[in-house]
Amino acid sequence: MRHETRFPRRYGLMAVATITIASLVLTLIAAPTKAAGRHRPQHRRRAPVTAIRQLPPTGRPPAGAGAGAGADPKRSGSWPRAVRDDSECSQVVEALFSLAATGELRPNEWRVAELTGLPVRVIRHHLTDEPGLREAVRKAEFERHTAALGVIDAAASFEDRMSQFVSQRQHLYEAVALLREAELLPLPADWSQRGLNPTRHMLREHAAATFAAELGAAGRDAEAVLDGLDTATSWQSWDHLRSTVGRKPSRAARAMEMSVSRILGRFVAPAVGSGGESVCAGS
Amino acid sequence: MVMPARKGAERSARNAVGRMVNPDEVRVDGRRERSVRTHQRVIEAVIELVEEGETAPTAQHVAARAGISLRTVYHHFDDLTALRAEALQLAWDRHTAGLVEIRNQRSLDDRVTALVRQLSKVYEAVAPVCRAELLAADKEVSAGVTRQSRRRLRQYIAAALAPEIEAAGITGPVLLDALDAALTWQSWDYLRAELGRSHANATRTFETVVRHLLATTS
Repeated sequence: MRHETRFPRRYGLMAVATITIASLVLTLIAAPTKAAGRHRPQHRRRAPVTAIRQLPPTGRPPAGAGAGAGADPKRSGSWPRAVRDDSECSQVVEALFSLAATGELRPNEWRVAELTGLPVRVIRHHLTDEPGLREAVRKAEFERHTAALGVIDAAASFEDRMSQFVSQRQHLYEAVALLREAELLPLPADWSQRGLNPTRHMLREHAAATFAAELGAAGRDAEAVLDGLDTATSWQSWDHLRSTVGRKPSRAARAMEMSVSRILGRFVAPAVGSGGESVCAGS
Repeated sequence: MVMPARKGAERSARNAVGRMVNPDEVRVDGRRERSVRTHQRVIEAVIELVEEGETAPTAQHVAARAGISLRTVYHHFDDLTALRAEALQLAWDRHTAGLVEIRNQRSLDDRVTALVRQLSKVYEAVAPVCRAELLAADKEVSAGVTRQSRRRLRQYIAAALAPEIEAAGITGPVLLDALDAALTWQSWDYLRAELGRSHANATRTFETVVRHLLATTS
């Protein structure tokens, strides 16, 4: 009887010990699985944001990448959030541009929201994202400049080309004047730190293409002549005459026409004639 | 009988110890002189810091450089914009004041060379202050500061090339506008900083533009 009473007690203790050890082992095995299980959905939620920042070739390009790259649907198509972000930013910039054009130089976020139809929270997000906004403004500025400057027929006479060139510049500079006043366009100083301003480079190329014949005739002086032409017909020169000297657009255009005519006049082919001077004198 | 104004003057001439002093001596106020000197030292400190490469010096740095307390800086200037505006103005004034008169008796070639040399000297000297983001946040103030200097330079160009501008007749004012617009600080800065032209090349461009603009009137 004593043996019978002892036997179950020993086995009972062993059973308790086995169960305890087993439960401990099971807990240890289950712990990482549980932790992973908790972490996995969180990781999955964060994945797109991390990936957008870490994978520039297929995701959203980093700030400061080339103009226009941010809105390439083929490149950012796999990230709807990035596409939406770029699209919203463009809408905000377009709204700012149109408001500036109508004289509203410092609109508040509610006004921009009203125009774009986007929530104020989204507008606030884009207005405070300075690098993103600058990039979008740079892109919009470049597109507007490109649209404003039509191709001038190289076969046309020097006078015709000059007249078209000055007219295009006048319209462009008067159009961007309000945007600059609204401080929407980047400062020249900001550009000079990064190298040649892409918009300014485009304007220089446009002048070079329009007067390719005359610059070709300038020979070894071509670079100095183009530099002179470029500076004399720049926004800064225009703004100096309009803001500092207080000239009207027509008078500033006459000064620009005289600059183009005289800087390039001596290189105009004789067959075409150099009547550019008479345009200035007569106007 | 003593006139009230005279009486007031006499009273102000009486110094702390109660003795009468010569009214002329009162004009030299030591405290005011010190204040003016401190004011000037603060502005000089901003210019020095910018010329050393600090694009937007803080009030603390300015105070440390001037050897005064931060509180004194704000006693003299309402804010950093006012301080930076005065520094920019002083830099322009100082360098444009050094422009050498170009006499009309000299040949056109000489005058063009001298004019471009003088302008390039000023532009190179003011470049660090102008390129610094001193007034980036306040374009209105910046424009106001540089406008006066630009007008002075326009007058200088007009005086140096007066015979040719007069000879242009009715187009004279337009010719001056064209010359003025082409020879701005912004044009020089564009050539030097953005296009990366050397001093000699930028000078050559300016000379080319002036000679071409004057070609038909000379």
